[in-house]
Amino acid sequence: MFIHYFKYCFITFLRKKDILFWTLLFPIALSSFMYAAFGNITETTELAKPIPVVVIHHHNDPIFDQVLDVMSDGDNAILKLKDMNEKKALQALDDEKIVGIFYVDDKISLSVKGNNLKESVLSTFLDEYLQKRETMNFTNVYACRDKLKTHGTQDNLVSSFYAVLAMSSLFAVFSGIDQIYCFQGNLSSLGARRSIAPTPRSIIILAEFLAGLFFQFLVSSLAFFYMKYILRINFGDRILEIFPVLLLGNACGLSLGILIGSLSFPKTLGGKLGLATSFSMILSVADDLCAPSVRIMIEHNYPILNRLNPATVMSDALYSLNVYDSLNRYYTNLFYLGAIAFILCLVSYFFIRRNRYANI
Amino acid sequence: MSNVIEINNLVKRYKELVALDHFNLTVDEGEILGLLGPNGSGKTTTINCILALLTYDKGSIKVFGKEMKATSYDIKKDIGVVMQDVAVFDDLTVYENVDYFCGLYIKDKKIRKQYVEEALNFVELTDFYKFKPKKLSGGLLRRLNIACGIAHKPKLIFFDEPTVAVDPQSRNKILDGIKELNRKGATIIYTSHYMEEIEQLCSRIVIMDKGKSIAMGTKDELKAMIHKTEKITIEVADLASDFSSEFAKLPNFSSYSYNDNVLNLTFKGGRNNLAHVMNILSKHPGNLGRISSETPTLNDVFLEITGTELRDNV
Repeated sequence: MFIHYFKYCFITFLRKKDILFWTLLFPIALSSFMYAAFGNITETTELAKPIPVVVIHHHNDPIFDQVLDVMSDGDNAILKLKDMNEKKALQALDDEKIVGIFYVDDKISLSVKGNNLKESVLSTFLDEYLQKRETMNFTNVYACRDKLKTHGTQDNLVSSFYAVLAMSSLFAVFSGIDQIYCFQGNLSSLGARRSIAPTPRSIIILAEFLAGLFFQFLVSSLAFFYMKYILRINFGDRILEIFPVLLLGNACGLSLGILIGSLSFPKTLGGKLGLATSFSMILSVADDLCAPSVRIMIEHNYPILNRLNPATVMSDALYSLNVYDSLNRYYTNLFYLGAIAFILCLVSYFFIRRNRYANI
Repeated sequence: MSNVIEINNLVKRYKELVALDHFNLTVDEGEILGLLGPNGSGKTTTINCILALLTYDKGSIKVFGKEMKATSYDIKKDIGVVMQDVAVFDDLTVYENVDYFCGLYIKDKKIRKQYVEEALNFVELTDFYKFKPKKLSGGLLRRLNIACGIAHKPKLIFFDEPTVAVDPQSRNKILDGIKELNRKGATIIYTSHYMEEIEQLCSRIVIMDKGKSIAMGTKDELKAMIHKTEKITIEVADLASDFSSEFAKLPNFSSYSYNDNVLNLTFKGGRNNLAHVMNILSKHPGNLGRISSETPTLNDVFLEITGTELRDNV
C-alpha cells in the first residue's frame, strides 16, 4: 500500500501547476534573469593571487606574526602584507585597495568590507588560526593554504546561484503545506475522508513525505542542471556532492511546510501559503538572495541564526564544496540541514499525531 | 435484525454550545435511516462522532457491536462515507481518484481494479475515466464523490447531504443508486435538508433539533403522531345534498362543503380517507374531475413538535 500512496502523491505533485511554478519555473526564470543581468560581470578572483591585507598591532602576538609570514611567503603565498597605519588602512579598505585588516588586540579580529570569496578566505584563515591556537596545534594552520583549492577560478556570481538553489529547495514548503492540508481531517474534506480510512496515518504521511521529497529533489536537480548546462554556471567539479545538499535542503523545506500546515493558525490554506511565502522569502533574503552582506552581518551579530537558516546552511555547504579541499565544513553543514529537518518533523509530529478533533 | 450502530447518551459540546444533547440512536442492519433536521441540529456532528473524527464529552458509540475508536481499523474497513463537500483530488482523473480511495481499503490490485470499474459503472461515469474533476458538471462531480465513498463495497454507508446543488436528473440517479446499494445489503444513513428525499428514500426517520432526537419512526408513524387535517378536494358536478350525511358518518370526518362543483372534505388524521370518500362517490352518476389529497408533511410534524417550520430553519 505504501507504493500506492507514494505513486498517487507523486502524480499529484507532477500535475500541480502552482507548485511546479514556484519550485521549478521560478528558480529557472530567476537564475536566467540573474545570468542575463549580471552574467557579463566577470569579476573573478584568482586564488593564486595573494590577498592584500594590513595587520594593526595593538598587542604582540609572535605566533600569529609567524603564521602570517608563512602565509605571505613564496610563490604560493595567499596573503600580501601591506605596511600602513590604522587610518590609512581603513581608507585603503574603503577604496578596496586592501581586502581586510587584522587587528591584533587581546583577541585577534578581522575587518572586511564585502562578503566575496577573498573576504571568506580571510575569515576562514582567522577562524582556523584561533581554533588551532587554543589547542596549540598549528600544523593545520600552516597547511591552511593547502585547504584552499588552488585549481580554477571562482566566479563571485556563483554565490547568487547557490542562493537560488537554496530558495528553490525552501519552496518545498508549499508541497509540505499542500500535503498536510489534504491530510488533516479538521482542515479539509479530503483529510476527513482519509482520516476515516482503515489505514494507519503514519503510513500515509510517511509515503507522502517521501514522495514529496523525491519530487522536490527531482525539481531542484532539474533547476541545478539548467544552471550548470544551459547557463553554464561554474559549480566546480564536485558535482555529486551537491545532490545531498539539495536532498537535505528540500527535506528542510518540506518539513517546514508540514509544520506550518499542521499549525492551528492560520486556519485557511491561503493564510498558510502566505505565511510560508513570507517565511521562505525572509530566509532567502537572509541568505543574500536580494542584497549582499546580509548574511555576513548576521554572522557577525547573531551567528546562530545562520546555523538555523536552512537557506544559508545550504549556500554555505555548496560554497565550501567549491572553495575548500577539506569536506569538514561541507559535512558540518549537511549535519545542520539534517538536524533542522529532523527537529521540524519532530515538532510537526506532535501536531499531526492526533486523529480525532474537537472541531471540524 | 442486529444493530449496526448503537449510540447512548451522546453529548458533544463546542465550548458553550451543546451540539448533541444526550442523543440516542440505533440503526438496524439493512435499513435506510434518514436524519432530518435544520442546519445546526447536529446531523453532521453525529456522523463525525460515529466515524471517530470528532471527540465527544460523554456517551458511547458502538458500530457493528464494537466500541468505535479512531484506530478501529477492523470496523472502518466496512464503512463508506459520502461527504457533504466533494472530497476528491483535483489533479487526479476520475479513475485515479476512485482507485486512490478504494486503495485505502482494498490492497489486492486485481480486486481493486474490478471494484473501481464497478463503482464507476454504478454511478455511470464510465465515459469520464480520464476527466479531471474540474471538467465535470456539479451532478457528475457528486457522482464521483459517491463512487469514491462506496467503491470498496462497504456494509455501512453514510450519505451526508449528497444531493446539494445537484440537478433533478442527477438527483434521481443518486437516489436510485442509494436504493440499489441498500437492496444489495448495505445499511444506509442518509442526512438531508430535503424532506421529499427523506420521505422517498428512508425506511425510518429520525428528526433532530438542537442536538436531540425529537421524533423517530417510519414516515407514516411520524405523520400519525400529529393531528393535522387531511384535506380532500374533488371536482364533481351536480352532487346531491344527501351525500353530505353519508360523508359525515365516515371515521375522522371533520367538515364538508360543496361550492361551484368542487367538493371539499376535511378529516382529522386517520387512514384511507380518500378511499372511503371514493366509495361513497361511486354511487354518484356524474363524472369526476380532478382529485387531490393533501396529507401532513414531515414539515408539519416538525412544526407541531417544535413550533417552528423545518423549512424556515434550513
